[in-house]
Amino acid sequence: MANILIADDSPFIRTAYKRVLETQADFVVAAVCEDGLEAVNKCSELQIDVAVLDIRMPRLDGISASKTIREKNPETSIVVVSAYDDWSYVNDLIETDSKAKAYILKNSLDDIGELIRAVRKVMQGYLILDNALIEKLVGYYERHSAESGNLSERELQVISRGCRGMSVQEIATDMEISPEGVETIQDLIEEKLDISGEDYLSIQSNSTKAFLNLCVALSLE
Amino acid sequence: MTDNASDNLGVLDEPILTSQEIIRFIDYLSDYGNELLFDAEEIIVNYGDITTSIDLLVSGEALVEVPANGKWIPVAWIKQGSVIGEIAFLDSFPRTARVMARTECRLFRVDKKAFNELSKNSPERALEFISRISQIMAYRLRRIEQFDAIEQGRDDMRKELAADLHDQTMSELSAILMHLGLLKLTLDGNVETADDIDHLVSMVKNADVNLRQLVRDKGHDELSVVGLEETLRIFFQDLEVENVSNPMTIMYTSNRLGEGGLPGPVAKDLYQIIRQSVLNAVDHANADTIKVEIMWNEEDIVFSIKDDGIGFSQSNIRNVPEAGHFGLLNLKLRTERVGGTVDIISAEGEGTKVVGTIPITRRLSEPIGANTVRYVLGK
Repeated sequence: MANILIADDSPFIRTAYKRVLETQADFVVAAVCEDGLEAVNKCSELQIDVAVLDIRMPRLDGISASKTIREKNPETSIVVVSAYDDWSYVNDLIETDSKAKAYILKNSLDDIGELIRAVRKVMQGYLILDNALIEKLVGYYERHSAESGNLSERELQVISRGCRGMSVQEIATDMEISPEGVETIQDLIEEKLDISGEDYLSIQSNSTKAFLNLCVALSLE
Repeated sequence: MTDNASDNLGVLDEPILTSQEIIRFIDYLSDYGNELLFDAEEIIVNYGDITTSIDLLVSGEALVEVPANGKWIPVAWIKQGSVIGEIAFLDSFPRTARVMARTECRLFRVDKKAFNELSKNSPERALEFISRISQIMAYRLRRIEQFDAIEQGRDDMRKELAADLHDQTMSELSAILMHLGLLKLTLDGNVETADDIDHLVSMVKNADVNLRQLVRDKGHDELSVVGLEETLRIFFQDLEVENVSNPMTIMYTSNRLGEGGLPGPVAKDLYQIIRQSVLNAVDHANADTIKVEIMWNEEDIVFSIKDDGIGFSQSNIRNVPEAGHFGLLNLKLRTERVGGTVDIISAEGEGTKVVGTIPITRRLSEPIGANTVRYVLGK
């Protein structure tokens, strides 16, 4: 069973999240909070596996709350649901510690599977960026590929799926190639972006972070 | 049709003196004033100065700047025929802005005392001069009122609205979408209701897209930070990732607009002109291609926004919804404010062209070579 906390200042959103998450037999919504401070306190009181946080909240914002929660409870995974497709928020969220975190956009949640997927993935330790954000990143990269084209199309396909929090097997199925094929491409990406990590999860979060930084730098050029 | 459209929108006189008027006034005032020459970058009138002279700008261009946060912010760009210091000439208060020559400037300066002499010796001439100056002041006042109402009000409201929309309304739309998603899960194969829900979902999503556009509007503040070229690039890129109903291509050509040599007020108006015209084309023209061109030539900026869409006929321009009509009026006012002209040319089935010119000297001796970037929307 997964204990989940929800924090958002809108009662409509709180109810919506709760109802969506409770469609899953193994999810329990253990706490529903109206601001970031309440979320921090509840996380320390209760054994929370995943905290689903809004960005703009009274008293304490979601990003600051996520930092305190992680400090006090290193095992708690974080899902930030944001109305802002702003890189600086994403950077803030993953700057010091990028594992088991998700940054998803509110208007991606019309597919109710997205919130459920994000919660499951962060519990496994993945770093997840919203689909729309990844598309934007890839767009930036492609538009500047003439000047900076380091990653091939194949490599872009793998890394963008990695940013969504897909496992090697999931990427392989999605791209209709073998898991070994995915790993070969992954090695090339690691080399090109100068990424290291002791296991797949650290490599996944490190390459997601590296790709984000690369594209943001490109978009500013 | 262009002329008719102009009539509808109400043509306003330029707030400047014609060459003939300048010659006449200098002739009247030759014994009471003197001609001055300023180099580019030289201060014509300084902030805080207590002088009661009035300057006629005989030739050249200058920037009116006000201090803000330890920097000089240009608030107006003036050119030949403009009058400088007409307010201080009348009320003798310290200058509230400084005026810096942008190019070499030739001025004719009349001191208040000397002007009083003229009033005694030749009251008709003094009256003619002072009534023309009053006209210009009245015009400026009217313009300020117009623009303040349109722009300031909108700017402030827009910021407030945008914040509210982002934080509340858009969140609530997401909540509605999630509830609809849940509802669909519980349907058990009731096809009709499922279709109804899909319809509701697309309506809500459409509202969400429109809200996002509105929220993005407040982003034009970045213009003063990153410059026109970069702001346009961001605008086009944002359009690319947006849900536009039909795919189209924007071809954007410019000669890099002097890389920041464009004065802020001109850049701001030019950006809004381009933005408004492109959005009109994207939203209403049903076009395949929109060509945007901005070329800064030696003496002027020529801009054009052309689409190959459905166009509109002169007879239904009056039927253009208020927002659209307001948009056209705004386009004209903005262009006129920076001393330019704009034509909106369209016919049913033949696309729409917005073509304009803003006279402004290109000061930087940079390469003129044009550069084209292609943006693909709704792919």
